[in-house]
Amino acid sequence: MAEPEGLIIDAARQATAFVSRLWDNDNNVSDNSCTLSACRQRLEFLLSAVQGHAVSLRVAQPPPPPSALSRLFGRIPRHLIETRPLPANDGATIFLPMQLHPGEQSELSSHHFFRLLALQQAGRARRRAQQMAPADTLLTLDLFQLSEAAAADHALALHFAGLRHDLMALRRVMLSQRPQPALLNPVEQAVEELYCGVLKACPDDIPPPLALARKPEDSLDWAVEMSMKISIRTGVRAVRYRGCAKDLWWGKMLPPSSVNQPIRYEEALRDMTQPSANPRRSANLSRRPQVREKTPDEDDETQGMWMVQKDDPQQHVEDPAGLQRPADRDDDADAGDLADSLSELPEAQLISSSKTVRELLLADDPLDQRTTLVLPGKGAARGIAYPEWDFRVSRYHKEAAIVRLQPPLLGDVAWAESVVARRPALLRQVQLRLEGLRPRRIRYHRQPEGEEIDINACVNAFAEQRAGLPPQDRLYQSVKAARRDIAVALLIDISGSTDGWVSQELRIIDVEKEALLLVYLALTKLGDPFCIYAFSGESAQNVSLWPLKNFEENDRILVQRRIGALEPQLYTRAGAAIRHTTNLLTATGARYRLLILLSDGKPNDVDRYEGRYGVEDMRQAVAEARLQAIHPFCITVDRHAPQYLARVFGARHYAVLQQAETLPVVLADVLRRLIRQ
Amino acid sequence: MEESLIKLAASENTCQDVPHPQAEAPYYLPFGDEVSIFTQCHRRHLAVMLKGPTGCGKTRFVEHMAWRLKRPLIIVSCHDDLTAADLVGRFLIRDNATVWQDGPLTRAVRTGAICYLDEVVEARQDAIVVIHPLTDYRRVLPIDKTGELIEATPGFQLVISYNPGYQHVTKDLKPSTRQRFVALDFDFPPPEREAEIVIHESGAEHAMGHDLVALAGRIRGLADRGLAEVPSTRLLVSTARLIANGIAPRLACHVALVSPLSDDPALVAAMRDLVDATLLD
Ligand SMILES: Nc1ncnc2c1ncn2[C@@H]1O[C@H](COP(=O)(O)OP(=O)(O)O)[C@@H](O)[C@H]1O
Ligand SMILES: [Mg+2]
Repeated sequence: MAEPEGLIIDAARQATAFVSRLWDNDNNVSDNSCTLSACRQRLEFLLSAVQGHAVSLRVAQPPPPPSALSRLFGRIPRHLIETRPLPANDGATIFLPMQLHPGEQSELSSHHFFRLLALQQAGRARRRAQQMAPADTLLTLDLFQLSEAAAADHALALHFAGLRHDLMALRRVMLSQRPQPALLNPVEQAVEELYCGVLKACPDDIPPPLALARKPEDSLDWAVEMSMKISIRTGVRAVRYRGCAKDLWWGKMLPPSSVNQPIRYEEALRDMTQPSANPRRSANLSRRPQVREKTPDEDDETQGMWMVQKDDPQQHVEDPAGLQRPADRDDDADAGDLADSLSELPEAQLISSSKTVRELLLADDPLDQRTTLVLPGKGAARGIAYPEWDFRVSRYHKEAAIVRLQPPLLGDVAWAESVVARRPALLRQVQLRLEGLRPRRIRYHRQPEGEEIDINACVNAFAEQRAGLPPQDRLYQSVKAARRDIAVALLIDISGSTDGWVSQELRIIDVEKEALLLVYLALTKLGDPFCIYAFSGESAQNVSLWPLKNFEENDRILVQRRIGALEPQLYTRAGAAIRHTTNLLTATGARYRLLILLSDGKPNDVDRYEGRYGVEDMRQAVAEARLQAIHPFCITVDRHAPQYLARVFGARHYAVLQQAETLPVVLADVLRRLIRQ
Repeated sequence: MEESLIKLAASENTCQDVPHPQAEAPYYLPFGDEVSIFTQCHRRHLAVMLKGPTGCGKTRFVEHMAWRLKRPLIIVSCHDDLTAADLVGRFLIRDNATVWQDGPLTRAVRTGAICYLDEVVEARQDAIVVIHPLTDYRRVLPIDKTGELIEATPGFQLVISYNPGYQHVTKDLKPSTRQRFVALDFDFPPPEREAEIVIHESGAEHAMGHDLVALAGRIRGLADRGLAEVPSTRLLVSTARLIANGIAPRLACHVALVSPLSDDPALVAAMRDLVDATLLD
């Protein structure tokens, strides 16, 4: 068994990883302005800029209740019981506590405080010290962490001179919170002394006996040597080192994350071949003891985390917090996604047996149960065959994918009205953005006829005539609405992955629908031809496209009801859908044609259409579109969009939404940028 | 019409022109082989296309090369109303006579100058087409209004610039146009050099120059996170100038570096955080 503390930390990490919606769930804090959520996005941007790649920031989970700890490990001295979540990093992700204590904000504003903690953890994450962390004794481990933390602070003070003041303030606050020396045994006192020495020092010097560790290896050497010295000095071999009280400065060093950062294209692809949204989740969980704790959001109807009790005689999958997952609510919800997230479990067979969770079928071959979902109207429509690009042999498979147009379902009339009523400000914003795109009235010079004389042209003609050139007849100017030769196609991914939740009550699909409706309403005012298609499907034989609005169609109520009826379907065979839409656009004969794909970006299907194959085919489809003078653009709602998007669509031809709620506005912005002449 | 009435007008108020190189070399710090490549192109009469983001030193490079090659330089900033006549020339009436006035391009062709068309994609298609015959082996400029066919003087060279970042549906350089140029790729200089440029151009202190460049490097990392425009060397130079003139560094960065780049509150806040963390007041 691994070290107890390591286990707890790990369990806590797993817990935090999945309860990402803790962000907005912070009921017991009345004043939201000094919590982490208030500055999360700002900090994420800051961290990305500092680290040079996207960094995700998560809420550190509160430590498990002491009762559970003591049950596991026997008695723990009071000053060593963790009472609050601590800043941490696993080499990739950064975890910060949701709140600070009131007293801590006297010296530093909460935002400055969080900013400093975030940058500290980022600095430590960059050293990737966890890979070196000594596993032999707690004493060496603590000394190692202390030396690493001091070194990271040193670098911070060096590169960010503006932070020195904040660093000093943080150290002062931490110093005021140290435990009574009387509580400590001699070994612990020695460590405490070293720690307080660091807190008292300036961040840009390292107080002896510590030494500046250029690499984690140096910290390791120092820690081993120092722990030896301490044991010799205190002389009492029997005294057990129980630990040092950890605080916000000390933080936590979590085991290294398996995800190597930055994500490279190949890695992104490899991630995608794993059906789970978060490949780490199940593999890690199966090795963890279950630490179930009561959280304030336990009763929420939201998705929780999954844990597998391996020691249980009867294997089953359980949601440890008893939380509901989206699939519980709806029999037709995409079980494929659910299977995806579970299929990676090391166990070959899992049987669902929990009362709180609806039954799940998990077989060896996930394909079997994926096929249990029946596509409405499958086979009813005549198919249109499209080729597919196979990167392995660098050629097309002819007639590899069949696109079938499905009759769109009709939703409630009231839905559109309720969206418009609920979001008047958003609609106005979208309209405002597209307003400027209305064909302007333009003055055309040098016309053969018109309302006014073109003086410039006349002078020119006169001069030219004097110079002996033939007379000009284009001497007029006229003002007309500019004719813009543009056609727009909106292609919406409604695959099962859009069933994901982006906020308390909205799924990706809901956000997509609302955005679509608002942009649709605004676009109709422009008068340019546009069409809207939704796509999903299953297998190459059934790529489904739902025409929500043809280029010609103008029935507002009908289109609104079709949009309202959209629900998450199955898979994303993006290549075929793009090819079909490309054909539609080419048929319009417009000079400028925009193809806007709204998606979570990951092409996948039941067969080989996954991972690299899917991405390469999509890339090829996009390239084909471009060859036909179509401008493809992708908007994705996935915050952690892997970098393959840049490869598929090309730099600046895609946008990644930070917040799904901004989709309508971003969509309008993208349209504006592309249409503006 | 009497032929005698047609005469060539002296160049007047047609465009911004730098007739002959100054005595002192315009400061330019090279990042690679661009100076020797450009020199070779000049010798072989090849047209050159400078690709790169705005404010990374393209104009400065052309000025510098004109000085080196001892050629006059004519710069035309293209805009979307720029027509062929604006480049080639037009008839004017003066003193009851018709006068042909050369446009900047024609003047460059006649005098053997380097003609730099800045942001050429902005120009109208008919304006772009007139440069075609100048960029192949013929090196001629036909002026259909006067019926002239001007052969380029040996020193003439056409240089265009183009920012691939500003991808625009309706504006792109046609492949047939692109093929006529030797392309030099420009980008922001590596940190050491960029700091050197900023210090030289602004007179700011050494450490400040380096801090600003480090800051810009970090902000440029936000390009993938929704920042449409990243800080250019030009922006750094102007920020450093403010600082060298006594404006507090953080304030100078906020007004000259951060605010011009974005309106997004979270992005602006994060950039301000970066400024505050990187610089001391
Ligand atoms: N390599 C360089 N050498 C010298 N100055 C440079 C260099 N790169 C950028 N600069 C500075 O940046 C400013 C902007 O450059 P400029 O040539 O106007 O950019 P561009 O034409 O690419 O938009 C210049 O005025 C100069 O101060
Ligand atoms: Mg999908």
